[in-house]
Amino acid sequence: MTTLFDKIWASHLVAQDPSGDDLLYIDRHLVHEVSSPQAFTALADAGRPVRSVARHMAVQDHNVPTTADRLTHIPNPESAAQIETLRSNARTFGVRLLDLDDRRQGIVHVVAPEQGYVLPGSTVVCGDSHTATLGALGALACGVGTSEVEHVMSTQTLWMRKPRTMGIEITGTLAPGVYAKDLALAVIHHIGTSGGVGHAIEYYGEAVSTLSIEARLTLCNMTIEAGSRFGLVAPDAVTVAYLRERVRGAAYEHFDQASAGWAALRTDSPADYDKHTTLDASAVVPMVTWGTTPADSAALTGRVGDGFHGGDADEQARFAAALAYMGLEPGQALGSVPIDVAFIGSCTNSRIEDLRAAADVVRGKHIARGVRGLVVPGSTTVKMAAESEGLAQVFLDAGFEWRESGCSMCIGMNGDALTPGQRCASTSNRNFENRQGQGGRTHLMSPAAVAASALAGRFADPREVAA
Amino acid sequence: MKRVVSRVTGRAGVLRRDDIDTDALFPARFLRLTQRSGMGAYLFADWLAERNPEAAFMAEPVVARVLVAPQNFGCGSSREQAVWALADYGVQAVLALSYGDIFRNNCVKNDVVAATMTADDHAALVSHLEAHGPQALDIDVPARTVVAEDGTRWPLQLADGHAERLLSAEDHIARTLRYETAILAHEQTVRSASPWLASVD
Repeated sequence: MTTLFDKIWASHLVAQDPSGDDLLYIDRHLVHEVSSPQAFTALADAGRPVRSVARHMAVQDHNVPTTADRLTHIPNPESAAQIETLRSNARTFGVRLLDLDDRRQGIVHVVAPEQGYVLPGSTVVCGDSHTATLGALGALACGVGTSEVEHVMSTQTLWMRKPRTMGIEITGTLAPGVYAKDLALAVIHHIGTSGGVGHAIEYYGEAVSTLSIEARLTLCNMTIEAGSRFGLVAPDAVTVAYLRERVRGAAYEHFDQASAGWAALRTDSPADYDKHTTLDASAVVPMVTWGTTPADSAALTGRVGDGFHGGDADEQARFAAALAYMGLEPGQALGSVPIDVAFIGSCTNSRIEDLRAAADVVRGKHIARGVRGLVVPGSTTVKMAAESEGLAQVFLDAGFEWRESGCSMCIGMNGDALTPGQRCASTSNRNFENRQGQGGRTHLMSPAAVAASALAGRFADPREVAA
Repeated sequence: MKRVVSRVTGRAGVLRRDDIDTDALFPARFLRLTQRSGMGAYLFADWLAERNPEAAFMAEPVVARVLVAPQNFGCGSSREQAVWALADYGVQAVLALSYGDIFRNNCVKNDVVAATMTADDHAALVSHLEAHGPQALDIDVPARTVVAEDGTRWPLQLADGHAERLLSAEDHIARTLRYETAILAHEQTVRSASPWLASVD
């Protein structure tokens, strides 16, 4: 009896060396412009080719402007040079690239599932920690550093130690106004920022089964914020239906045979997990982070510092430093905290269902005076779908900026950034200090909650607006 | 050939905060650079500018070869620049209660020791450094120990396989190419049994 994770691991095991390291075969490698240049340089210096170019796909995302004129104008010269470097490396090494003018371009973890690149039972890596997102399709997917990017390009394998497994059973169902993002924040709050270190997490249970693939992608996305490199959901009928209309090439040709085998991709018994915990989805409410780690979170109807349980002098100091950075007082009502910026985007929450949820909140209304609202679709495909559904117009009418796709203000590399002291209601994944721009203050929440907060000009529970 | 790391000796710098993320170690705007060298110039760039006490070790005249940190050091982004920056600045070993998994893996790829200690040993080491002032620590990889200047000694734990990698002179890719036959055999199996895995699309 064994776990889904162990089954995929075993089917990709190429060799084991005397030290006990496993050599795993990597089916798919996703490349972006930020974590790949040094890897390509190292290959070129050593005279090594990319071993199996069909197994790689590159996309420009982290650094790309989200302005309408980006095909002709990239203001930051370093960004422009990095984007050009990926173009040149893709040409030299024969790796396919979804460039800025490609309708499939977008954030790597939005594009890969959307284009049917990620299949159940496969191994996927990318030089980006949010690769855990892709485990939502029942793949063994994880983020790696640039040395491993080089290694996988050169050998199509990685040396790894098998992590332990952790099963997270999520019972019940989410209430209206509560989303996968709230669930992800609740999981991180429950097990802590290092609760998943050394483990691969599998999510299962009634709540997970009822989530759409896009919601599962959101849940798995934030697994890394709980310390785990891998977040998986076993494939089911929802997965098969999602992929049937997206796969292409060999996966399209062999779809029935492939999907027939996916039924076996499940954990035999919860007793097979090394560690196990349970969470009740029906008790989860709309959440917001008040501090500088994704575990510093509370109900939107709660207060700053809720859920902080004291600790030793160092932990007290961290709490005080976090609140000083965030410009908040302990015990302050979260519903009274004003915002400057509302950001809807990132590999966590920029898919069409996210945009629909946010648009439903703001339709026919206008964001508060003084608030800057940005909507950055996760891919050009999402952008076009949202435009044809009329969502883009809903956002524009409500006073939001409607931008081109990319990582944008989640990481603040591309010119979309907070200025010092600005407070942002954000659908992104990291509320670390300086993450969205030097001195910026990030509060993580769901797209509906960001939309509600944009209307109110302060943190707001999306259920307030709906009522 | 890679560098063999069996011993690290040098001044210790102590960090107090849990969850020091790789965005703090290496702010994202410097990720636009496409080289691997010289990244030490950007280590803790924002925290230095803000005079954050966690970056105070960098103001000392003697480089901290060993960092002592609490929980979940190097969490967050997979950016290897965080390790390149530490190594370029001069850090050769970190002793922490726990790490971000990707960061810890990136350390060993760059010949940086990323060891853990038990909570009791870690507390004793931090107290010792507080009581005896700034001093050098001596880390022995094969023995898995750290020794203070007065000879006080604590055990260290390395992640499985890390000691073998630190002590090996073999390049990471050269090591793998020894398994070429097994890789080819796996690819042959995939082509016949699950051809849908052989190409991204």
